[in-house]
Amino acid sequence: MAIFNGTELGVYIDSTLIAAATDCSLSLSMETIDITTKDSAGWRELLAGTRSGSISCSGLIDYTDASNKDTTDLFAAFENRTALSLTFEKANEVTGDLSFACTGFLTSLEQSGGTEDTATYSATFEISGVITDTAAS
Amino acid sequence: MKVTIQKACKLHGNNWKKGDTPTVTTAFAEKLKKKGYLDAPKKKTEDESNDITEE
Repeated sequence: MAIFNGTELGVYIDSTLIAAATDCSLSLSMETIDITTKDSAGWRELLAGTRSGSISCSGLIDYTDASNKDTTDLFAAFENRTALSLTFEKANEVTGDLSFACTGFLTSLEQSGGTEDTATYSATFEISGVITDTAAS
Repeated sequence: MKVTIQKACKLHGNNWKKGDTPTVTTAFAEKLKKKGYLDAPKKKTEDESNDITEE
């Protein structure tokens, strides 16, 4: 059993961690094609359709983290409509751990700041094309 | 994983200076290690620094 702490998971752009994240998620889904007919005995029948996914990340705003991908880098990716090389993986991989790699676009970037509260960001990347998994060896 | 950059590095759209401590993927850390960005610069040995031969 190798259950691990979710803190270890991160989103990387060009192999570099998105800075000051507090939460991240990878969401995959598949559309289905309905092929239900009168012969289906009252049960829906499906064919597999298009697979797609998105990666989301949220955290605290830092405009000047030169070492990692900060909010400035995220805005540049949005402004330039850059196709980003994304990775979703554990910080300290051990044998058998999976990392997921794909290309994606930053389709949503939200920044907010409440009174007497931390300034936060939220980013969503829509995956374009295939997502591949690699097991650490 | 967190790494310490030992010499200025421009790779994968990054622009790190010596001493930066980015968190990178395990695979990329290996690449940085292979390319020598994570090793302390090799000090010149005494033989190398006395290369100039005097006549």
